[in-house]
Amino acid sequence: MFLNFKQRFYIWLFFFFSFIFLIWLELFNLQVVSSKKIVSKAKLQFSMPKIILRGDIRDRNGSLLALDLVTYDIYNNVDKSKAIPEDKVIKLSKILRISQQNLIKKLNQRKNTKIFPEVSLDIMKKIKDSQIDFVHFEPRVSRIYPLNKMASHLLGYVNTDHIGQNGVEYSHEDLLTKISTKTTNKLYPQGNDIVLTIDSALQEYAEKELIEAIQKSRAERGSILVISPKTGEIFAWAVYPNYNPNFYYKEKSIKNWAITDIYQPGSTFKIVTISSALENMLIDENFTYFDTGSITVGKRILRNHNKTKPQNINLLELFKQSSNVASAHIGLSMPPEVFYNSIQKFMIGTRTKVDLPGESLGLLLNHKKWRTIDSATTGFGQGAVSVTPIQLACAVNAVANHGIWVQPHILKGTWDPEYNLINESPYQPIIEEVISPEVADYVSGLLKQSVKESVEAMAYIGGNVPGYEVAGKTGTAQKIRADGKGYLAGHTVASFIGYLPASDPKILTLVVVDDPKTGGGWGNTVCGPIFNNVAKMAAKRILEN
Amino acid sequence: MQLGEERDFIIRRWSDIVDLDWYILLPTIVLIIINLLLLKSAVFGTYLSRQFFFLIPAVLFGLAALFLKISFWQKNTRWIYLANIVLLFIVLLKGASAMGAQRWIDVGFIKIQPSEVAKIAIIISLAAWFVKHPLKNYIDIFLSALIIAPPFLLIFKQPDLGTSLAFIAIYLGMAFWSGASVTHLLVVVSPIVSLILNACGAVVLNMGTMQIHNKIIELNITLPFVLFLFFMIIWLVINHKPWESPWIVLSVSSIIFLNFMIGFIRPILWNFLQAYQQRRLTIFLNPESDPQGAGYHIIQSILAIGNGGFFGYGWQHGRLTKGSYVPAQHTDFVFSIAGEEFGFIGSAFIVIMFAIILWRTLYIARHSNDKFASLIAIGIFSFLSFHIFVNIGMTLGIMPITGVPLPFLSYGGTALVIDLFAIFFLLSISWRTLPRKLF
Repeated sequence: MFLNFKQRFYIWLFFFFSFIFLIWLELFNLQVVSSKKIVSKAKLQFSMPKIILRGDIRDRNGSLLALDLVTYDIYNNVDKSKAIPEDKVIKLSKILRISQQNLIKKLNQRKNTKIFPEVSLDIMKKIKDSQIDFVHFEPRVSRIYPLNKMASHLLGYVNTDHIGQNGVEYSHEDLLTKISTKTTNKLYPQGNDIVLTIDSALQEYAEKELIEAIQKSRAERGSILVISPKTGEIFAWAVYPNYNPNFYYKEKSIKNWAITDIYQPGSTFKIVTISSALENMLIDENFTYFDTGSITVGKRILRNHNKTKPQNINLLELFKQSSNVASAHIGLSMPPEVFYNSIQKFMIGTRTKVDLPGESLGLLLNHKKWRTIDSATTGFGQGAVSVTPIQLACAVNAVANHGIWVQPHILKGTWDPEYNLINESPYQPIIEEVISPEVADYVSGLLKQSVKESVEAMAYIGGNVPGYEVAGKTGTAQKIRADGKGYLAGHTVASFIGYLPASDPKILTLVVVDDPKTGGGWGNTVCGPIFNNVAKMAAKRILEN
Repeated sequence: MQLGEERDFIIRRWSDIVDLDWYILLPTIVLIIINLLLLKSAVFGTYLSRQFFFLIPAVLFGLAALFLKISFWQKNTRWIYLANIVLLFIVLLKGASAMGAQRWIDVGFIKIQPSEVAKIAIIISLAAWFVKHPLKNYIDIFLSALIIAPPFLLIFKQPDLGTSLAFIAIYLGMAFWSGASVTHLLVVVSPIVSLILNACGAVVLNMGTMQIHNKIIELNITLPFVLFLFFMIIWLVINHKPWESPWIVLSVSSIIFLNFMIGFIRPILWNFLQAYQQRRLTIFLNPESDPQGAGYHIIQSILAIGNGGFFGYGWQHGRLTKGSYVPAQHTDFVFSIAGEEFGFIGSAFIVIMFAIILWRTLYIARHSNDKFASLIAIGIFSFLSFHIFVNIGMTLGIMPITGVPLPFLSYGGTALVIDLFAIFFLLSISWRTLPRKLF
């Protein structure tokens, strides 16, 4: 059935008018016919608290890290048919501390104009007690981070809709917003208060140390992680550049790079190499190697970082001198598949599943793509492997914890405001046996011995914590170029990882400083002093409390 | 309707401006003033000055549309179409994201939304195509549908459901205008209608008891769907007289088969949609089922509009608006501010303004002496009316939430530029191709 032009025009007109009519009908229905019903429904909504407060965030000792604050905006609610009692205007102006003329001017404006912003609950009660009924109040919630920049990467922030965006605000959003029966605020429903594993004093100290060191060495960025080898609890997590979550929208970078970004670990990775080789019985405790100072792999010559005389070295000397050549030799002695599987067992190349958002996988090239040179360079932590700081900390943690890898975590439990108690969460960290306890303890012993002898010989700065035996390792990695082809000359990532007490580790500390310009960029000179200070503080806060 | 001489647009005297089509221009000016008032009223952010700033390029582009000859657009259609596809590809490859969708190109100081530009580009392209190839049979329908397929798919991928649906509306409107019969349109629309009816049946079923997994049962219980299919078969048989040729038997039965298949394909198509799109599309049937979640937008919008009553709360004094209960009140739900603050009087007035523009657009399309211009006018009519009805219907709770902005009233730079461009294009068509006596 073909229609002529005029018929088509009328069909359009018909549709057009019926649509307009439909909209008018529904508008009339909503705004005139059922208006009363809707207005009363809207009123009901005003009377109900639309606010659900987020729970507070506290540190392991119960001190506050984040809280919701309710303030009230005052609005004009003058009944135009009645005169405003003058004494009450005077009273209100005194409570609000604004001039009377100003207040009267505002009261003469239309209904629902804002008169005064953000007064506290006490002032609101005062106004209500004075029977001042020509104003009404609208609550407003803001998230306050009283310590500003401190632990910003752990806490995260909330957006304008009051939804968590980073850190635990994001990862524990459910817990923070699920209405709890035990709340600190009696006026509004509130989510659970959560308790983190961090120690504020240690966190603050670590951040101070990190920022000082970064400014001194003119480095780009850095991070300090302090975790518990046994339980995987995170005691401190300092990351620079940091930001102020109260004013997150003004900040350039809010990236928690200790979890999102990867770097090549360098010599600290030798702990993994040696442990793997021992575990797979490709070397034993009597291993010795004649170190000529260089090793030729294919067309390339790998050298040690310092020019040592050719000598026979054992595993202890390997750690003490941080011999790249010997590590490369051990790396080469393992078939790529064996080495790859061992590294994978240390959870490198997989997420640690720490309860913070944005974790990167790290990077571990598949062994099928390894060239011979990769086996050698991976032996001293360059080559086929890149890690996030938290991955490396956890991998070394497995050695410290007698061969058992523990999932790191930041949530300690919920807070009971009635008794000021922590309800420990029933949360069980994932545990995995990575290497046998014998191998782990043997490598731990080597690390302890090497640190002890080096500190005595004044070769090591890091690892000198009075009163404690420290097991540790320095790391100075070359930085990869941004395009991934080769390395940047003269740019390093300095690091130091260590744990104490060496025989029964309770605290593991990793210090990473990216691209320091002083101290030769060495892990020992740049990160050693920070490690000592932070580990000392950690021992004081965690062990001696 | 035959090709007439184009009248050049030259302003010699002030009185020439009086000759402009004020039925189009005046309501537009009124709506833009209302837009600025509403943005001043919206609580989120400082959008007023930005929108004001966007008026400058909008008017400049508009003047270009007014001064360029209509044949200029007809000659350069292929470049317009190509540029549009390239822009959409840039979005796909390097677009800036916001709220889970990749719809913008960031050019430093502003973000451009090419899917808005695509609407005008596709109207021009389709008009040029239909002038050369008026719709006569199913093959013509298929070929012309190929024109909108690339931009449609690129925009659906972003994802931007509202704009993709606008494309279908534009296509249907222009195809119908260009000579498709009711039967043709029925064939094109029937899969969509079947889809909607079938989906409604499924939603009603799922709301009632438990989910029914047997597809056959689901299909059979869906009564409106079956009735629709029944009437469609009767219509096709009466109009096509299949006893005359086996080919007609084949094509009619394949169309019917296609419609039956929709019932089976729907769950698969449904899974193509993002989870948020699925929830938005169905929640308007029963917003109270999730008042704090997916139903929140609709409930607050209806409350705000109803709360306005007959006279409204007065400008800048809406309680739900100012209490920031209504979400997206500067963009998609801007009409609810008007409803609460200006009441029935104000919102009915806004609807009248839109109606005048739409009626005049239809009138221009009817009386224009140039086929290309007439098709463009009907394309703009389809585009504007789709946006207006879907958006206002959404704020009133009688249409699903598809994220379609309200022309002239929603905040958005690219949308404002494109809406004003369309208006100036209409002014140009009206000036150049409308017989003088009809002014």
